[in-house]
Amino acid sequence: MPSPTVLFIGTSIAAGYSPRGGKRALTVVPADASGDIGLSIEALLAAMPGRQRQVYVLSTEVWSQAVTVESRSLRRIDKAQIPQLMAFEAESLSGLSVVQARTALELIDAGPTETTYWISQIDSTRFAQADDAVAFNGGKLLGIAHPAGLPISIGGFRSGWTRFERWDDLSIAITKQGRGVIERVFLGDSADEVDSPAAARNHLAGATINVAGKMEFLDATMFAEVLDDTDPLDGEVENSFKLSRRNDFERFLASWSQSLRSPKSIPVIRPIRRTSTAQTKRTLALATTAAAILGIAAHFNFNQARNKQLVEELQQQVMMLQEPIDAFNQDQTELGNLATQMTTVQSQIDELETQVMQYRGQIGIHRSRMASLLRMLSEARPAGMIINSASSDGNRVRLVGRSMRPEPIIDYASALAEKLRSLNLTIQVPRREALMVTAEGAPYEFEYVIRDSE
Amino acid sequence: MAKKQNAPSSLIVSLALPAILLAAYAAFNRLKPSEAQQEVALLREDIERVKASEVSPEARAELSEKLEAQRKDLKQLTDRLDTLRQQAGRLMQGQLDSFAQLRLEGDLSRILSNAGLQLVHERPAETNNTSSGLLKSLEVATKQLGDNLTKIAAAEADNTPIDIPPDLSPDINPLEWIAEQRRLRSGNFAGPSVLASDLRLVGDYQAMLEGLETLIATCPEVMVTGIGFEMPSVTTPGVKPLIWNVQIQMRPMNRPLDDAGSFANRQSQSTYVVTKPPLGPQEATPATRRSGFGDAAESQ
Repeated sequence: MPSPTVLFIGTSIAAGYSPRGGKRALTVVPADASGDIGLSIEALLAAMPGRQRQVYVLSTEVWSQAVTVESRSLRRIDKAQIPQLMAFEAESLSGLSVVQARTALELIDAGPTETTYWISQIDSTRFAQADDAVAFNGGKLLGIAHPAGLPISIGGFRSGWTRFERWDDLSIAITKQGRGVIERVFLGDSADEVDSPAAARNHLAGATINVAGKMEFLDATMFAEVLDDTDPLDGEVENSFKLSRRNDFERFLASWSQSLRSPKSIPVIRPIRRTSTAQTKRTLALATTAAAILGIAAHFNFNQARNKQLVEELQQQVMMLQEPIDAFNQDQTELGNLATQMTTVQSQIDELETQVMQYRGQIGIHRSRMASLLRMLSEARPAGMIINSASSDGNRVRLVGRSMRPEPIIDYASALAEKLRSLNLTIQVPRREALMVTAEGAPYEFEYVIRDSE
Repeated sequence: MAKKQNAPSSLIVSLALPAILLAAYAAFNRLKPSEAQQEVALLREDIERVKASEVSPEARAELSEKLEAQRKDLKQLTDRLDTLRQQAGRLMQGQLDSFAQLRLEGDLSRILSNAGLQLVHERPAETNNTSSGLLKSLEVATKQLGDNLTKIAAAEADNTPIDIPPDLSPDINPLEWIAEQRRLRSGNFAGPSVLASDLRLVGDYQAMLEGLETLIATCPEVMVTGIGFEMPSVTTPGVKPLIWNVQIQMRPMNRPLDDAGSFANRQSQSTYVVTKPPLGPQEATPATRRSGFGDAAESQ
């Protein structure tokens, strides 16, 4: 936590220390003449540079004293009831009723018979005024405490020091030895004779109060203003601090600011936290749950609608992108189909052309082959061989003749076969028969059978 | 006092339940996203995937050009096939009309007479010599070509929609009507109708040879399918006439395509490629008609 802003509200002056203020860290204004702590704070915050967000108020209007009670009384009650008990104990001393007072307490000493608390009280109305004034300036009041009892050394000592503070309404000795806890002793007398660290040491020694190490003295009595310059009549004494001196006052408030970063062992009166009741919390929980359910339902419906719309848009986009690809694929398919069709048509053409050519060829052969057969028979016929008749029954042509010798019958048949091949005709092995007119058997009758060769 | 101690001690405790709810909702959302969220994620992945496979405009333009060129090529090929089919279809269909038959018979008589042959008689062939063994190779070629044409026409007829007319008679079964239309569309390519005749002539060998060769050269519609000769029982010295038996067929001439139809005609037929056969049950199958010289009308 950063160091908070510390406001000092006295009877005559109001001073503010802002740790982020630099050279203007300390601001001093006159306190409100009517004694209104709220007006004093408002004036002070208005004079300070910037806006003070986290604010502690140190005020001498806070009643602050040590109160001792019997330890056995405390042991009888619950710890949570101790503040209430101590408020009643302090009522007669502070003059503030339990109902009207805001109380803070800090345990100082717990012995077997007696227990001492450091109690601070302030009128709740004045606390509210202070709270409102801080809030009015955009800050947050973290607490109000009496300026006495600063738990750290003003002179910068880490341990082994004792400070004697003299205030108008009380005197207090604060001691820290080594790493031990801080001890505070409230002194009943006014100790007007103490005006230096040495005198304070003697005073405390006379009161049989243990003094350790360095001795500091803080004089906070009767200061009505803060002087920039050192009072020449009041020579500076080492470790002696006067709040009427500006430098000392600033160091004092800076130490408080540092100490209040984590306020421990200080009775700080804090604003009441308005904790929610169980009913309020239940209502809030139910309301937030209902809101969450409604939000989920709304988000779900919105998502559904948006996704549906998105799906439609994406589908259209896919269709638009897919359309030319489909057309391209269709064209490719058509190209393949066309190639197949062309192949088919070409094969049909080839087949048909071949068949037409064969048909025409057969027509040509058949038209001319009987005339060609007659011409073959009239030409190159061997001597001594005649053909007496020819007949055709549609299936074959029979040639019947005679030959003087048998050999030409076969030879002529072979010669005819060669020539008839081009006419799609074949000749069978000839039948021959010797008529036995001559001694050699001549003449010989023969028969040629000629057929279509298909 | 005890009740106060049991109550929640701070606002943080009061806010614990809604905080837990919100945290649970957030965790639920993260661990188990809704179907819409999953779909959104999948769609985003799809977009990335689609973007990765995006096709450049140059590639699309190049493909379009290829496609257009391929379509043109296919159109050319299809037109060529249509032309070829029509040409082949004409080879497989048709018949001689009366005028052509009369002209041919006149030409035949004149050519043979000029060659020195004497026509003894002519009569229509007694047998259907279109399926004789001597014509087997021609039949095979005819059948192959005809079957192929029929197959192509039937396939196209199946793929060509047939609309039932709205005024179809109620006593006709629509399915049978469609089947009949499809059958009619498929065409008949069994070969052209031919006229077969048997001739008996008298003349010497050389005259017959010359006559036949002249006939082949000048009359493409005539095909000599068989021939025979024999010696006469009575002969005159110095003269060697032979008695000839000749079988002939007359069939429609194989004219080139351009003679048969104009380009526009071909174009219109190419769009409706199914050749409609002539109506009539007697023309649905190939028939060999018999004819006699000078009596063609009677033979039909």
